[in-house]
Amino acid sequence: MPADSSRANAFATLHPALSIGYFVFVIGVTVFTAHPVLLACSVLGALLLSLQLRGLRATAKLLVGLAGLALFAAAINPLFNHQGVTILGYIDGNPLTREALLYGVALAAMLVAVLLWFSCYNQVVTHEKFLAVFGRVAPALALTTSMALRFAGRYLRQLKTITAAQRGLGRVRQGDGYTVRQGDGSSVLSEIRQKNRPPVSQCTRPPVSDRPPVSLRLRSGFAVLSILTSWALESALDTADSMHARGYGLPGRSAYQPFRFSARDAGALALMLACAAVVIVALTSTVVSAQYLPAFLLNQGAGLPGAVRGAITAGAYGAFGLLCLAPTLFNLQEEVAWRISRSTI
Amino acid sequence: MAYLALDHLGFRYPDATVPALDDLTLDIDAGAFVVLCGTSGCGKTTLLRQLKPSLTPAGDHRAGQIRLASRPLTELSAREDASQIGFIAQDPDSQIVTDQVYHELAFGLENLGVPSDEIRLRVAEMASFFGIQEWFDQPCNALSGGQKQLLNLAAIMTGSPALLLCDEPTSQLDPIAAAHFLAALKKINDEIGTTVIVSEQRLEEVVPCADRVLVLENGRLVADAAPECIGAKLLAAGSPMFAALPTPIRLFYRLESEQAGVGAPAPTTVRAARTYLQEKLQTSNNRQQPGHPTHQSQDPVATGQTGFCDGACAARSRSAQNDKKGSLASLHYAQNDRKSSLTPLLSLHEVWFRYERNSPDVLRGLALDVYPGELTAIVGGNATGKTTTLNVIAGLLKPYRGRVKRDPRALPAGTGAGATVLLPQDPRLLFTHKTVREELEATLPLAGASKQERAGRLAEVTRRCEIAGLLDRHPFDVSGGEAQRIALADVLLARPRLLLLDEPTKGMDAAFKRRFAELLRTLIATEGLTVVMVSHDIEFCARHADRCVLCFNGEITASAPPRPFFANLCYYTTAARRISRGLLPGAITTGDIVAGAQKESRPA
Repeated sequence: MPADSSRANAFATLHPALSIGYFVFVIGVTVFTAHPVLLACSVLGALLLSLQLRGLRATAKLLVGLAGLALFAAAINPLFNHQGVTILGYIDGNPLTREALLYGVALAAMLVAVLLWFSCYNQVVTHEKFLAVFGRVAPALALTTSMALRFAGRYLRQLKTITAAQRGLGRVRQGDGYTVRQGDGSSVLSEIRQKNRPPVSQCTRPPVSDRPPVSLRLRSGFAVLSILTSWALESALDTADSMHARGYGLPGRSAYQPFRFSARDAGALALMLACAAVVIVALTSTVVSAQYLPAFLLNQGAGLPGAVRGAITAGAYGAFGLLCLAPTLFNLQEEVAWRISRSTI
Repeated sequence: MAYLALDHLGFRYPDATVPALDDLTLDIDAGAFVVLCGTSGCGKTTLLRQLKPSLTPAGDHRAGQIRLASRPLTELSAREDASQIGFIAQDPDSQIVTDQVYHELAFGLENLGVPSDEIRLRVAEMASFFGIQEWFDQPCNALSGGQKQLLNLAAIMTGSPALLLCDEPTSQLDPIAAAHFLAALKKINDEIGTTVIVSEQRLEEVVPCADRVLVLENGRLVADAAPECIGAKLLAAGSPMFAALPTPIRLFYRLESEQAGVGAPAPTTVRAARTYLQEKLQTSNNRQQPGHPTHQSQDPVATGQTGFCDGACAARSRSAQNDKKGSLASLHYAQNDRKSSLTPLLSLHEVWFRYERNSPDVLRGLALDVYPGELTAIVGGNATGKTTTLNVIAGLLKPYRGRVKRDPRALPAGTGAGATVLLPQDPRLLFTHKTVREELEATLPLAGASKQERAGRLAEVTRRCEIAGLLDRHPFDVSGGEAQRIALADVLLARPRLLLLDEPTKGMDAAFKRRFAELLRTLIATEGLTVVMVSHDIEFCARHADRCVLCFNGEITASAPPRPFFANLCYYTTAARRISRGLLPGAITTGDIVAGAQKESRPA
């Protein structure tokens, strides 16, 4: 899905390898530590970025959906997990502990953060960007994926066209869930969903109807599939010819990189690496850590002097906080720069 | 030394009895623009594929030699083959490999191992040359057919080949996209000097671009000449391909045939043909009536009277016989306006339609009457709602406002046997069986005939659609024109009352187009069939339709019999009308012009 150009999305103009690396790191840290401070940073960063990229409406809609999921995750853990030293009460004879409750909340926050980050990821890294980056690492796989993406769209569209054509000859009856549309492949999925769900009318319709029997519908379904297969093979031969004619299979294939690594990308990379390094040091040295069960223990690792630990902890909080807010701040800064530059024109 | 030299080239497919190419010898100079034409199955594709080693099919028998820049083609390495010879096939869609425009442009260069920075430069260069920046960032699936074919061309030109082979590149495109594509080919030829060999079915636009026209018949070269002289050669050879030549050339030889001057170069463009016709009319006028002012351009359509009609036209309007010298009947709007006398078989009242809730309206208050026993042709540009209208008539799409009223006695509801049948643009969408025979036999029971009747009906349709030789073939294993005929047979077996055709003449050669029109006429006369067709083929509609309807912006802008219809238009009209505009009022076919010119020289 292309990013909405009406919203400030300067972050998406960075080199895609950088954006992909960013999301991998932030989502990775979110998933692998259940540290409350880091989780809070992550949720806050993801929420702000989502508001910025997708707007209030879309974010609110997503949050409403997430709220149910988060409540479920937060509730399910203390109900089934009875470890923990602080007992708050009993449900059905089973202890409800403070630690299990906290852990549930942490899991819910993690879920919300990850899903919010993924919704932002889709606004920043489109699939062609992903393929372009991937193409350097695994060119053959990237090309195959690219071809598969194209074929998927074409097959679905062709399926619709064939069904429409068969209906035009009176072979496939109307009312089987397909609607004929031209050109766009945008609503294909919703149609497939419609197709899989039995139409409401089928249940309420009287037994005597003009709908053909199931056997006939099955047969016409197979007929449509058979044409689709023949067509797919035929067109695959053409595609193979086209690839062969254009020299596919010659030794020494190169991979075109449409994106350039600019000085700005280098600056962003340096900042990201610095922040990431601090966070990684803090996490691997377990200076910054969280334990929920059986007892809730925060930052209880390594026999380092207190001052050093304090510095590392503060550095890690600051670095991860900065990292999570970086895209939002970057977009804001670009937005301000744009306003200023426009006002001077 | 010629750039490309064919020396007694022969080729036969495995299991074939007759050779596909037979003793072809010809030289093509570097930088030439060559058009290759002939009826379907004459060997055009086979010849083009012989010129590109990586696409040459396996054959039983090969003879002769091909030399490219003095080297035998067989010595070309795979790398040279990929970089020096470009090939464009018919179907724009299946040639595209990747899903992004920029990646498609880079694909060939990636294969050749060109470094990323150089690819960037070449891609930028190509995108600028072809003007495709606007859709450069799009996924390939979002492009129109014309854009896809242009992308294929650009993607091949990134490798800067010296020889470009195009196998009916515009056969899947509408006329505007086709003209755009040909203009790009011409630009490559003119500005880069690339040698272009293009095979085509539709010659009207491509022949004026060419330096040379080659005509193949059954794998043999029957004519090879410049566009100005190709008509004379084909006439002398008595070739059926003469009928496929552009209107200006055909007009020239029809007017000159009775007189001297056949050896003179023929006009190939509308502009040249107008000059020629003007001179022709002037000389005959001066000869007949010295001192009389030359014919003035009073368009009688505007003043309410139409001129004349030649034999072919009279035959079209009713009689099944196709006599050449018919009476010059006069035609009026009123005479053909049968609204008062006939009940329409089907009428669309103020039909509004859109595909999705938030999408724009495709049909905006469209009104159309379809009369029984008529061939109605819906013409118009792309995306004006033509195909949508056809789907609404078929009942496949339901308008959200307005009504589709049908005459319930004459036309049963729904699609299928004995009712309305729609033949889609791509005939292959109908084929579900392994052989053509099984395919047709599966359709037979739909019309509910008895066993004995079925055999007879099958034989009759097979004969009418000229597919007797194809019955045991796989329906996907035939040429485009043949597939169209099989689909037509399939549809006719369902015995529809109302036949809806979407671009039926696409991919048909000129010879079969004529027989196809005759077939429709016979069915209308004998079985009471009613036909509505959507077409970009203005020449076909002008010659064979009973009523032409112009669809624009989701509504019907004009509806009239073809003569007043096309005579009233100046741009979107037949080549004959454009040639004769202001010179011979009311003429819309070459026949009309010939008849008019004769009338001029023999004033009553």
